[in-house]
Amino acid sequence: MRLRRQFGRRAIMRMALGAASVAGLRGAVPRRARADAAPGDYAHALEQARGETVYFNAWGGDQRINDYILWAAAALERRHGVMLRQVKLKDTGEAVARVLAEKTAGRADGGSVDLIWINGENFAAMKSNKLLFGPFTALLPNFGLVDAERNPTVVLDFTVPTEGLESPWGMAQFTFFYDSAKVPAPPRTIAALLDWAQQNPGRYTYPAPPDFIGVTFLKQALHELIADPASLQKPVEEAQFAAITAPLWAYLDRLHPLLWRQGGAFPDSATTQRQLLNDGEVDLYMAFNPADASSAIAQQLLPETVRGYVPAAGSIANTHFLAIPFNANAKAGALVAADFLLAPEAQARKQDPAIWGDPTVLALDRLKPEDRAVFEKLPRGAATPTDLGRALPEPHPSWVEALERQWIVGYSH
Amino acid sequence: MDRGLLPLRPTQRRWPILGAGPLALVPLAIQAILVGSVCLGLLFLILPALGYLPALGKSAFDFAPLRAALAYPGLIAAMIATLISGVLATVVALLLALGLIAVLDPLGLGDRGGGRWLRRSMLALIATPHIAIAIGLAFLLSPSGWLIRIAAQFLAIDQAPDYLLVNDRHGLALALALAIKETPFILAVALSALRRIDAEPQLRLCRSLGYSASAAWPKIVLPQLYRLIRMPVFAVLAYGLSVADMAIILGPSLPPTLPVLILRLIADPDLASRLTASGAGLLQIGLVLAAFLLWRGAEGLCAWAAHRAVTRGRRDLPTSLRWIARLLILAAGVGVLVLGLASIAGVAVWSITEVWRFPEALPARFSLATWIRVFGGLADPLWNSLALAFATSGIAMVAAVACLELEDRLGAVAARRSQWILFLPLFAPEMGFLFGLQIAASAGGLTGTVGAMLWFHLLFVFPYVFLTLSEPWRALDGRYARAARCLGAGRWRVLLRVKAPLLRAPLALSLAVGLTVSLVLYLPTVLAGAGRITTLATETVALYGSGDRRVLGVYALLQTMLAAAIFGAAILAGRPRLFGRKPPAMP
Repeated sequence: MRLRRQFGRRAIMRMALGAASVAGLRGAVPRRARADAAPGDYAHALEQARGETVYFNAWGGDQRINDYILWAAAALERRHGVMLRQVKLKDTGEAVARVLAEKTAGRADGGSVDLIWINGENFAAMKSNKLLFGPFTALLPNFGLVDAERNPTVVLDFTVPTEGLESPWGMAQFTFFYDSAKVPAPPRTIAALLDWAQQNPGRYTYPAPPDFIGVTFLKQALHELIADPASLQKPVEEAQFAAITAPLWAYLDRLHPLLWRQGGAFPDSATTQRQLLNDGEVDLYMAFNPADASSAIAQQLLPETVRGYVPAAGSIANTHFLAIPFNANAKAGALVAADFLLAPEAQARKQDPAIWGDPTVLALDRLKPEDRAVFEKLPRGAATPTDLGRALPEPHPSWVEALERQWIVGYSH
Repeated sequence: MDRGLLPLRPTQRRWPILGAGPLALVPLAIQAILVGSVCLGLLFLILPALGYLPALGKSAFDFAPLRAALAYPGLIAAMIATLISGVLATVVALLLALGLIAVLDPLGLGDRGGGRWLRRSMLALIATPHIAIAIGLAFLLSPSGWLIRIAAQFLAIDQAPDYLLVNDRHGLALALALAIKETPFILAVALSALRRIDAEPQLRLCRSLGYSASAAWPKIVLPQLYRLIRMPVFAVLAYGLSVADMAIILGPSLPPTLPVLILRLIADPDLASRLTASGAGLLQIGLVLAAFLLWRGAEGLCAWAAHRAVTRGRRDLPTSLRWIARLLILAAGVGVLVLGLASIAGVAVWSITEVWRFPEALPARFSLATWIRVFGGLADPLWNSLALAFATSGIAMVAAVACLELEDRLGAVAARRSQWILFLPLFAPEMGFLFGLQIAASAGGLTGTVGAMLWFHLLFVFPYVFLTLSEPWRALDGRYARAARCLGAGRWRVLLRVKAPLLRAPLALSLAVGLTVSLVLYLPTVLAGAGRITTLATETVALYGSGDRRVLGVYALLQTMLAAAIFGAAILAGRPRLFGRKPPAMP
């Protein structure tokens, strides 16, 4: 903003004349990247962060979330002088690949990613390739408000210990949504879904893997269809993969001809599928955020009759996190941003279905009474399931890659 | 002319370009950048594709990446869908553009009703960004889309039918969208080339030999015209086979087209996928080359058939056939125009919608809330888009003027010999060489910098600017400049005071073309910007998955309005200034 006011029309004129001296592109990597010494404590980080620009690489496919990040950016700039800029990703893997490419190219500082919204296989990939800065969560004052004892997924990401390399941001549980005006009794198990699809051909679909909701649907189905779900907690063993997952592929072979477009095309994300429900092309959609439909109704993106439910056997639950790459250009700023996003104020706003509806990672009993009151006053949203049932653990991250690959092999033709 | 007089020509030096002074540096530099970039990109693509990527500890040449790419599930289907959509779109766009010219404006004068109508309506389409057409068309054609919603008002439709048109397996919807976008482009190029063929006396001669006008045009004018527009046609073909943003929206999903598949492989956190991606990039190059060969073969076949038809000497086509062809061409032309404009209309309506559910034909409630909501996040991408567009097209225009002026000074032949180089980035398989170029740029720590953005954009902006400017520049009557020189004006003075004012309209138009090309570039922006420098084009694609057509509508309409404003300004700026009298007509 400042830049534009300073130069205004003259700058445009100059550029029109072909001046190569445009240093004004927002987001450009500074020519001489100032390497950030890793701050040793939070007070030091706050001081160092002032004036830094933090490039927050976050999936950008939902305007509500983008709007929330804009709000956080404004608050951070006002309070701590930190500029937070969202780099909108289509897939979090893009940012992981970029950091990895920077490491292979020998760029050990001045990296292009400062903060990244991450979990699961992407975190596992970054951790195993030593692409992360930290451990840093112990530095964050607000991390003390998280209760890892009672809520183990805030430090156990898809069975992989976070070891302080990522800070929890929100909770998620796989939830189904349907239009109660059209579907009187939605199927509550994976087996019932097949029967329902037989009676209502073309009215169900799921996002094509590698979309994470699509993969989660596969995991949920696998969990319900196999005899020993505990085997999913261990890394995939190639020798047993085919045997363990055989019931899943048999199930999908029967389900696919009954899907929207006879399984010939799949929506590319859960939000696209939500739009299909709003358009009346399908009757169900899934999301990781139990309040997704409540929030979408508030934005007029769904009919008011949409309701949510969790499968009878429980559903896959996890936590999503914020991590800082090892070569981040603004580590101090990233720390301050991560702490702010964990603060009760930011978490309460995030949980408000009118804003985003993403459940908090904070333990309410650790909050100050006035903060707790804010959370307790938040509306639940009519479409949010009242009982989230049993939270099923995420399988080991290696399953994601294996399922994705097998799905693509089996159904890309 | 008697050959004995030729030694007097000024271009007798072995390296005439050396005699042109500092001006020669500009074309040399731009050619070096274009050729260098394409070669660098291909090199950095081919090396990893052959297994050489020292950063990953791979330094032995083998065919593993290529094999991995070929073994990738759905790859063959992806290549077939890419080929079908790209070739089909080019064939349709070419036939339709030439057909429309033959029916409406065979002499390329643009003064009759049909010709004027053609120019105006197609200019409207040429200015609309690809992405807006893609988003609009996806909404128009989908089973719960606008067409069905309108039909539902008259038929009893209460549930969206389950058919697959958008995202269909063979990429037909993608081909349709590409054809909508490319028909006006080929049309514009062909109309401007038609001016270089003096068609009228030739046709008159044919008439005197007893040929009807509709039989003479394809026999006499068409072969000359096609020869002039071959290069742009190949560029259209290459573009159709490399397009990513439209394919993400309209293309098949299982598997996607090859360029989208490569993008997906690049984004894979497993670095080994990058080797597979390079292998796929190599296949992409092979695919484009194969399509070129296929096209070349078809050209030969058509030439052979046309030759037979010409020598047979039929003076007229059967009346019924003539009318059917005419009707078909006009219907297709109107269809393309209506689909294109309706796509934009759909996008525009969504941007001011509050609620619009199936099967209502129009939104239940309108609101400007989305514009207000989106505005906060718009500042950066909008600023970046405009700054980049003005900077690159400014540079490109100066360079193009320098190239053309040099051509004038050296005599056309010497400079034109290497002209194909200027269009190299348009023929090179975009996805393939840009991916390689990104590897090179990121090894040099350049990705995400302003320099990389300017560089990648210039590769595509310059050829279009040059393409737009060169035709009218060369058509300018050389006697104006010569007269000015005779009156004692220096070369620079002639350039600034004679040529520039005379070429005001084409100069403004080429700047506008440069600006709009830069505004809509997706792949180069994504790859050079490392995701950090966002423009309207990249934001729109990132938001495509948002499931909120209102937000998409705002972004797409904003791009359309920018393009329309740019072209509008160019047309206004290009109007001749008349100081109370007409410019002197040359005899």
